Amino acid sequence: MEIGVKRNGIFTISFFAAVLSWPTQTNAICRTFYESDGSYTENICEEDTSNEIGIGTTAPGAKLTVQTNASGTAVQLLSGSTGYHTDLSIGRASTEGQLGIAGVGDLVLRLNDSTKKLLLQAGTGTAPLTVTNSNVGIGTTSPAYKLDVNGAGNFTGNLTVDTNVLYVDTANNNVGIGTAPSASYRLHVDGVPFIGGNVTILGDLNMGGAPMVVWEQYHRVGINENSPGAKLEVNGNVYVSTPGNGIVWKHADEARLMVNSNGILGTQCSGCSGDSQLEVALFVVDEFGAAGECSGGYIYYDEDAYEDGFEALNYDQIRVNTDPGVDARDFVDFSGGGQDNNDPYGADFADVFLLATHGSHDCTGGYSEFTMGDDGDCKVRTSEMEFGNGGSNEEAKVGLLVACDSVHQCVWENGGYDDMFHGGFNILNGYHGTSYDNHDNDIGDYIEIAEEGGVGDDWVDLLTCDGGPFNIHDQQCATSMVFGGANYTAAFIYHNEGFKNFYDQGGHTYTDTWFDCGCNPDGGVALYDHKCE
Amino acid sequence: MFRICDSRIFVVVFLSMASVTAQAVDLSRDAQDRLRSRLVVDESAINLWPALGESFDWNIGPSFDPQLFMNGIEAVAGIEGVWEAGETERSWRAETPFHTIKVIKEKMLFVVRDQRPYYLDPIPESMPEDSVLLEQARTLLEAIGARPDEMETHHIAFRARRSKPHKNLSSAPPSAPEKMSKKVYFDRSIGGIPIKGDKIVFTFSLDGRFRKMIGKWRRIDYGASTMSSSLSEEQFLSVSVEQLLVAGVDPDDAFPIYLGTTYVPYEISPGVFAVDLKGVARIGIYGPNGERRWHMHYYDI
Repeated sequence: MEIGVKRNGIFTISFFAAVLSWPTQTNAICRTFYESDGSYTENICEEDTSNEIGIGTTAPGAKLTVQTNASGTAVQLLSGSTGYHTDLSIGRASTEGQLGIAGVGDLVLRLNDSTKKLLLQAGTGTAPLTVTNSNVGIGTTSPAYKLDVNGAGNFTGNLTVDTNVLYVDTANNNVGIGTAPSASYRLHVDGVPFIGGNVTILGDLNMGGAPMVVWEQYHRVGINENSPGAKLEVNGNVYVSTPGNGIVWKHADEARLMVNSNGILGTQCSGCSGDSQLEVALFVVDEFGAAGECSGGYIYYDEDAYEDGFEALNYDQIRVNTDPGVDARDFVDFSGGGQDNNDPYGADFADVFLLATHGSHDCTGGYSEFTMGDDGDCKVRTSEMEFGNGGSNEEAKVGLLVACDSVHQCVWENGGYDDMFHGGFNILNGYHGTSYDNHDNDIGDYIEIAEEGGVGDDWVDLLTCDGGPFNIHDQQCATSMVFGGANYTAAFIYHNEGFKNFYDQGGHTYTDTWFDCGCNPDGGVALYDHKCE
Repeated sequence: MFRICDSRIFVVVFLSMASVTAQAVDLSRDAQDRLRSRLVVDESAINLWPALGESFDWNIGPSFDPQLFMNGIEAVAGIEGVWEAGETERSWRAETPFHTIKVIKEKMLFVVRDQRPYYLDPIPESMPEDSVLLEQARTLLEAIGARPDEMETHHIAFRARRSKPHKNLSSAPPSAPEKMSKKVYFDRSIGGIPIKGDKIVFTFSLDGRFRKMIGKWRRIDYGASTMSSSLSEEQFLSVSVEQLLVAGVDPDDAFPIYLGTTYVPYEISPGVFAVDLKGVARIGIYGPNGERRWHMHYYDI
């Protein structure tokens, strides 16, 4: 009978010619297999005292011991084609794997040396599961923690860390720190949190029992008051007791009323920038072509309408500058050799300036340009302007440019207006493309309407051309450019800043332009279609 | 609409114009012909006779009723809380925790603002039809005393923004336009003729909720107004040419002039206005660099 063959050092069972004999050895009965040429192949021995069988050994240590040479594979079981049948099955009858184990007891895979790695892997690359040094790694073969995950995780059930140190309630999408979270709270913290950076809360803040309530939606704070009816409502006494402190009532950024640390009521401004006056500077350039002035066609403005608007708001100073008293230096920054802080003519000297004249723009150069009425200084560019930049009498907050191309999209896209904005200067209104010069009364109405808010939004509402007899709604495109410390801050200023209600915009980090979709003026590219697509 | 009334007497009135230049005005036939060649006559813009029905109400419009206005706002906005109202010599105002109303009495300027930051709300999955917004706007116009026959002309547009960081912080390109609200513009007209300066702009958040209303809508006594002209079309053109020359318009400028008609209000007693039918010219002007600018010139007809 042909039973065994030595093939590549592996003992296999096949049908091959062999010579079989059963040599007798001490304490063991062995059978030696020989190749057909008589060469020695392998022994199969039975230890006679313990009844243990050894293959390749005369001293088996277990019921079946298979021992091979140092470089050989001891056992290989193959069953049909790999991938279709189970190659090694221990207590398992199905045929879909190469190793199948099933049983009623524990399965222990253990390495004697804890520094070695037990890897589980499907396919190639880094083993997705590694056990070593009493740690488990997922996505890492060198786990440094009990569970070390390199990559994203997903829990469809709750996650708990040391009872309530951290509790993730996936059923209600809530997180608890130091406690299991109440179903009412997205984040429930039981303990004292320390937050080393900014906190943004897009909802109300309630300090249980209402010692303090912050209504985010209405920008109001109540102290001992659940429903604050003003920006700050305090239900109780207010003490200012630290020596050296006082109370200052401000309008815009200017102190209007002050109680100093000695309890003395006063109106002087102390420690605040700017003066306490509300000022507007109107620049109306309307006579072109006359001697000593810029050339150009007939143009008409009624500065009275502008003046009336600010008079209705009780502005303290209304300075009307018409040609030939106007020149470009009134808009060029003081530090650049201009006179924009000059009293009474400088644009930056006032809180609000308005310039009505001819305008044009240069996308590539990144500026809008305006015609002034003084020969020799007939043009001024936005690239020469800086407002609110903190020098002496430089405190502009809002600019109104009643001129063509004064806030043009392509100039804004190229950052052509960015350097104009400093300090409290945060809104510049103008036009993308051609403007009309007979909006005098509309602008007067706009000034009154935007007293307490809407300097940006109301401008686009009222100065984007009305229908009139020519149905020209989409041909004059009023635009408003706003700067803020954040995207949402700019939006807030655009809607809420008023001519008597200026805001600190918290920096000049972000800028917006606002317009009506589908507006398509002369001299300007259409502002998208009516769906802004 | 344009009507020719040849039987009417043609009277040309020369008005003194504040803006007449110091130079002598050339009213010669040649100058008139040259300026006339600049005219672009769109009959849809020229209306010498308003289309008023037989049942047209010539009575003075109602005076402003604050309670009616508050009721209208409550109807469209669902006001929460109680109005707190007050009045000064210049204005009437009312507030709730969410809304403020201000009416500047002398000019009949209306300001209603929802103080909540609706513009930060996410874009809803679906937006209401324009007809829904128009209905709310008409309800509010009625609440300030507007007549249905004055609400014929409207325009609707999305208000959008684009954003970008300051150029010194990033070279990131500006954002694509982001729709933030919807605007409904109502231009006041009567019988198909616009009334200069009177318009109301309504703001709705993208979910269709009323958020803001600003503009002017004066109390008009149509019975005391000059509602139509005695001129024929040809007479209207002749008057227009002469009035423009008197006003100093250059007959030789290459830019076209568009003609139309409109009602111009004027105050006849405190808070009450009448309207006069006027001619209006939309005149193109060249700036020093050849840039265009539009001037609207109003004149008697």
